[in-house]
Amino acid sequence: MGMITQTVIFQALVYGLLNGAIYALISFGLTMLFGVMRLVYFAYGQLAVFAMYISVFLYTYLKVDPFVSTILTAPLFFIIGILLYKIIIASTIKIPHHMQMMVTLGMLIFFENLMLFMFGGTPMGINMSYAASMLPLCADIKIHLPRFIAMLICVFLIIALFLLLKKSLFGKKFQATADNEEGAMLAGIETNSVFRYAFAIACALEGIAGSSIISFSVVDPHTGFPLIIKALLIVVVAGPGSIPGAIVGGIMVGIIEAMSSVFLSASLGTGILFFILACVLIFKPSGFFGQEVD
Amino acid sequence: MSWEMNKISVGLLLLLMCVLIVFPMFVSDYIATMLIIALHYAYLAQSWNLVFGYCGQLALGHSVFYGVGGYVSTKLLVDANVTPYLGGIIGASVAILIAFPLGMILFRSKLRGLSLAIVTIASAEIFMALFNNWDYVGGTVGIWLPLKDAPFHFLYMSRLPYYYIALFMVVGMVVLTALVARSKLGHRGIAVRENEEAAEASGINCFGVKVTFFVFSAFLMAFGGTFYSQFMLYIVPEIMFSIPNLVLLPMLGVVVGGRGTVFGPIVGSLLFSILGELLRGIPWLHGPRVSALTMMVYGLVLTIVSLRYSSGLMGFMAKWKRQTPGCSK
Repeated sequence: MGMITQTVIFQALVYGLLNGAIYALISFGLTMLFGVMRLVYFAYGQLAVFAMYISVFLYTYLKVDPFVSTILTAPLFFIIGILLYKIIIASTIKIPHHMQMMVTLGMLIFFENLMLFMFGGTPMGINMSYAASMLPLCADIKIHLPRFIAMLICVFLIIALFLLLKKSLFGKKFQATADNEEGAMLAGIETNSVFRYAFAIACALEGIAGSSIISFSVVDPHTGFPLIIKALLIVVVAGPGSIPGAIVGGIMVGIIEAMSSVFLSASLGTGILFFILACVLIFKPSGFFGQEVD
Repeated sequence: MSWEMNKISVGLLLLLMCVLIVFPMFVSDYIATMLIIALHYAYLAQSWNLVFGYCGQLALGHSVFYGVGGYVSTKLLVDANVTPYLGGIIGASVAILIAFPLGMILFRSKLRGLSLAIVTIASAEIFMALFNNWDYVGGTVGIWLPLKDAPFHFLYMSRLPYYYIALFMVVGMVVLTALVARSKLGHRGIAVRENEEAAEASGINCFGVKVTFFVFSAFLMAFGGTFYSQFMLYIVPEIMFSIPNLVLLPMLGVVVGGRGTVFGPIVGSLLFSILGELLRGIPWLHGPRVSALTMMVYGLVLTIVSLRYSSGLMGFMAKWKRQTPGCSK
């Protein structure tokens, strides 16, 4: 094992922050869905993987830069989200929790294998001209350019969503429904519509996240699973429904993960991460900031 | 849930058993292997049915015990030449030693529903990471078991003995489940499943019931792990602790067949295994695409069944029986 200098640690910290931003965005979407409609959406992330594939093909055949492809994937997935909601999700709102999990688990299995069926199991990736460029930060610390851009996009989206939820009419309806669904209905808010658009927004987020991630990572049908597990852990530990919790949690997980990889092997690092999160949950089942689960 | 034990049912069951026992002697190795795997999944589904169907706990990390059972018995066999018939029991005991404190922690902390599911998934991932980094058990390389005929050591060249053992395990599970379902423990479990607060209020020690089912289920899973090691002759953490294969697939059988029933998970898993084989027979599909297509269908079925027929096939049949005139139910 090489020397763990200060530089290495700082580099890992930066790396962790970059990853953390992405985790934060994904956890944001997930907690949003849980907060407003109590939906445990196991299949979250599958559409992101699908977006990754779309961006791969757009780049390979049409030379479309992955970040540019978000212009296509975001609205496309918004529409897919509306359709998915109508077909499946709307019916899951009223069924018991554990059955809801079964439904979305079934969706997870379906989507993952749909992509395995369509694209095969070999990982795919793209190589843009700036794929390996590094931005110097200070001293010896460099930032991988595509990751940096992805992080900027995530930060931008998080801020935009935050503003949407705090200031817009939709945001107010969203918060009202998340607080008290029946109360919101009594106040005349059409909760179904809130659910539908919240879900569509979450799917659009997946699209953007996927297209951004493919700029520095490869994709295979199974990339969705570890993502959703981590995101679920983050959401539940931070407190389901708590958006600040999800954001902070995502960033922290990114950092912890990067640090564990420096001091131990990568897979052990993941194990440790899960262990820490599991311990937190055991001591505080409702998470740090959240309302009661269930 | 009771099942009619009239003469016709018993007769049919006996006939089925005869067929199941005699039939495999005449089939090819390929079909025998297929049957063994189908039975294995039925066994796993039924063990999980205990903790989910009869107790209502969404414990999604049971692959931990499968892996522990398999690794313990395999290490004992490979290093110390201990017969897996004994090694399996030791492995299952180790599984209990892990499941007991784990269950106590999990349920003492009032983890429910989603949180429980997540923590149990996390525990499976933790164990996978642990075993992947542990050279003593072969890490990511895994362990190979010897390919030879050694009946005392649970190794056979022919597929037939494995079939009978798998069949025995499944039948044993069915009997066990039936016994549990009718016992006080079973009724308490169902009470916890339906409404935990009410169960607690009526004096049931919900914590104790949950831990009991959890540990029981873990014990059984461990045997599954031992069987797998002896059958496939190669174990590696990615397989032995795999959630999709060891948790989601059996779960499919349980949900589709009917959770909390004696025969449901068996029927459910067998249906899926048959479906898988049928799809494999379609000529224009080939290679890994077939299994992907099979899984797609599984996912779709899981989604649809969970949405509409949450009591599964058994529940559907029970309803049908009630509605059809002339039936004595």
